[in-house]
Amino acid sequence: MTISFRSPLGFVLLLLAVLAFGYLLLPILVVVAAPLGDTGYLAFPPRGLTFKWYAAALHDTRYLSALAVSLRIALTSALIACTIGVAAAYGLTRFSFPGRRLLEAIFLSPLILPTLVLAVGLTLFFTRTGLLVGSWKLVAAHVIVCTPYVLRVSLPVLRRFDRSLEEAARNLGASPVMAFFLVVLPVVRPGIVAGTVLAFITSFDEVVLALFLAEPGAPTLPVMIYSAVQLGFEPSVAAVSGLLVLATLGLMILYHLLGTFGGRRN
Amino acid sequence: MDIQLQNLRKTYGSAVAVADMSAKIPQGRMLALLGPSGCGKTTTLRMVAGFIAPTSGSIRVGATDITTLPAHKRDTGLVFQSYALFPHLSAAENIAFGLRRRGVARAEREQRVTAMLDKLKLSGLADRLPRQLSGGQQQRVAVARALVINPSILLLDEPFSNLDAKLRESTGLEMSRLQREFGLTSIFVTHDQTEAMSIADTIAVMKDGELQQIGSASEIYERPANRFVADFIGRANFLAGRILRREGQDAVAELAAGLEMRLLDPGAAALPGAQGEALLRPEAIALADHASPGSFKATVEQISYQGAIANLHARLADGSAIVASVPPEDARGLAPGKLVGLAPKPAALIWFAKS
Ligand SMILES: Nc1ncnc2c1ncn2[C@@H]1O[C@H](COP(=O)(O)OP(=O)(O)OP(=O)(O)O)[C@@H](O)[C@H]1O
Ligand SMILES: [Mg+2]
Repeated sequence: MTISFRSPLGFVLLLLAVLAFGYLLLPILVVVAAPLGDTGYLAFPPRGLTFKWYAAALHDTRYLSALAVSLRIALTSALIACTIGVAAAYGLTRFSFPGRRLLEAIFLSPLILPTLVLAVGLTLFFTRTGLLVGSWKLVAAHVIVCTPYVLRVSLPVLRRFDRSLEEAARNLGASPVMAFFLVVLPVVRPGIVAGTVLAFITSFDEVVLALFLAEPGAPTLPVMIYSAVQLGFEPSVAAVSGLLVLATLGLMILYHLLGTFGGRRN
Repeated sequence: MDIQLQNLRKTYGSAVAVADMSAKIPQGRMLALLGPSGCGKTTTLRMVAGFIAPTSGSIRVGATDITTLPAHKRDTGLVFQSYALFPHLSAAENIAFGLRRRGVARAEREQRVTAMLDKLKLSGLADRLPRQLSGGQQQRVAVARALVINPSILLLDEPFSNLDAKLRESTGLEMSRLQREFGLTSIFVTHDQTEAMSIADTIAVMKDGELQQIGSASEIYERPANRFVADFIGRANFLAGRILRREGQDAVAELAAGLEMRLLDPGAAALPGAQGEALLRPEAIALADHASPGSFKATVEQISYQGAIANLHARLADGSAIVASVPPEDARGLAPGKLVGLAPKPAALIWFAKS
C-alpha cells in the first residue's frame, strides 16, 4: 500500500513521523551541540562556539584509556558472542533433538533477565570460585548478555537458509564443515554481521555489569562517564557523549556500506 | 558405471516413504522415476545422492557398495529442482565449485569451466550472479555445475518443472543429448509422464513408495502391469466387465453391459465369472457404423478438435463415459446426440481383474 503525502491521511502520517523522529533524535542533537557552547556549564542552545570541551575530552587520558578498555572488551565479547551465537543457532536450526525449544529459550533468556540480578550473581560467583581474572570477568558477563542478540538475529536467517544450497555444496565434494564455511556462512553473513554489530554496541554501551565486574583501575567508558556525571556535570563529559554519538553514526554508515557493497567480492 | 538399487527402503516412524525399491540402470542409460506427488521419488533420489540414509537395502555403483558413503565422497552430480545455485558466486564460480573441491589446477579449471559455459550456451553470462539470470539460464548453470565434474552418475530432481512448457521440452531434449554425449548413467525424477517417455530409456512407475512397474516407455504404455499404471500413463478408458468363458489362452468377456469382446491373453486369473475392467486407449478406437458388430454403441456428447486428432467424448449404453481419439476427417459430420459405433482395434483391450 502506498499513501500519497498529499492526501490528508498521508499528511497526518508524515507529521506523526516527523514528530516521532524529532522526539527521538533531538536529545542526541542536544548532546552533540551543547558542548560546543562557550559557557562553563551546559546550555542549549549553546552560546558562543568553542571546540575546547571536545578538545579537552579528546586529550583527557582517563577517557582515552577507558575508551581503549571499552573497545577491547566490546570487540572480544562481540567476537566470542558471534562464535557461540552462530554455532548455537546452526545447531538449533539443523538438528532436531528433545529439549530443543527449551535450549533455545535458555539461550535467549539473558534478554529478559534484569542485568542487575545477573551482575550481583556473577560477582558472587566469581569471588567464590576465583574463576577468571582481570577483564575476562567482564568479557564473560558481556558474552552472556550479547550472545542472545547474535542468536536472535541469526536464528531466523539460518531458518530461512535454503538447505539445498548446503546439499549442493556437499554433492560437489565439500565436506559438511567446508560446506558451512564456503556456502552457509557467506550467504547468511549480512545477518551475522548485524547480530555481531548489535552485540558490540550492547557491550560497549553496558553500564551495570561493568560497574560490578570491571577491573579496578580500568573502568570502561560508560562507567567513566557515569562516575564523572555523579561528580559534577562538566561540559567535557557531554563532549565525550557527543563523540560517542558521532562514532556510532560512523559505525552505522560503515555497516551499511558493508551490507550493501560487501555482499559480493569481485 | 551402472547403478543397482537393491530392496531400498526408507521409513519415517510408521510412515513408509520408499518400500522395497529395486532397479538396475546400465552404464550410460537414463532411468525416470515417475509417479504422483508423495510417492517417494525424491526420497529415492536423495538416498542415491547420500542425503538420506536408507532404512534398509543397498545402493551399488559399478562394483562398489556406496550405501553408507557420505554424500561428498560419492561421485554424483545432482541438479536440484530449485537449482540451488550459490547466490554469492557468479555463474562461472558456481560451475568451478566442484572442480575446486577436487583440487583441479587453476588453468585446467578455467579451461573446463569455459568449455562447459560454451557447451550450455552460457558464454557471456560467466560473471553474472544467479539472481541476474533468467530461470532457463539458471537451470543451465545448474546442469553445467553438475556435468563439469564428470560425475559417474547424474541425478536430476524435476529439473525442468520451473520452466515454461516450450522451454521445458527443448531443455529436456538438450539434457538427454548431453547425457548421451557424456555417457552418464542417470536417474531423473519427474511427475510428468510425457517428459519421462521422451527422454528416459527406462521408466519406473511408483505409487505410495512402491514400485509398480519398470520398463521401457512402450512396454509401460502398451502392457501396463496394473490399473494404476494404465491410468497414470497416457489417457485411458476403463470398461467394467465380466469374463464369460475361456478360449485357450484368450477369454471372452462381456464389457460395458452388453458387448462380448475377445481379450488376448488376459492371464490365468481371468476365469469365467471373474469381475474386472478392460483398458481401452482412446487412440485404439476406430469409428464404425453404430450397427456394426464388434463395436460399442455410443452417443456422441462432445467433439474437441486438437489439430492432428479429434477427441470424441461419448457415452456408452451402460452410462459410462468413453473418449476416442480419431482422425479429424472421421469426426467431420458428427454432432452431439448422434449414435456411433466405437470399435476397439485388434489386441487393444487389456484386462485387469478386480482387486
Ligand atoms: N523427513 C520426513 N519425515 C517424514 N515423512 C517424510 C519425510 N520426507 C518425506 N516424507 C514422506 O515420504 C513420502 C515420499 O516423499 P517424497 O519427497 O519422496 O515424494 P515425491 O515422490 O518426491 O513427491 P513430489 O512429487 O511431491 O516431490 C511422502 O509421503 C512424504 O510425506
Ligand atoms: Mg519430490
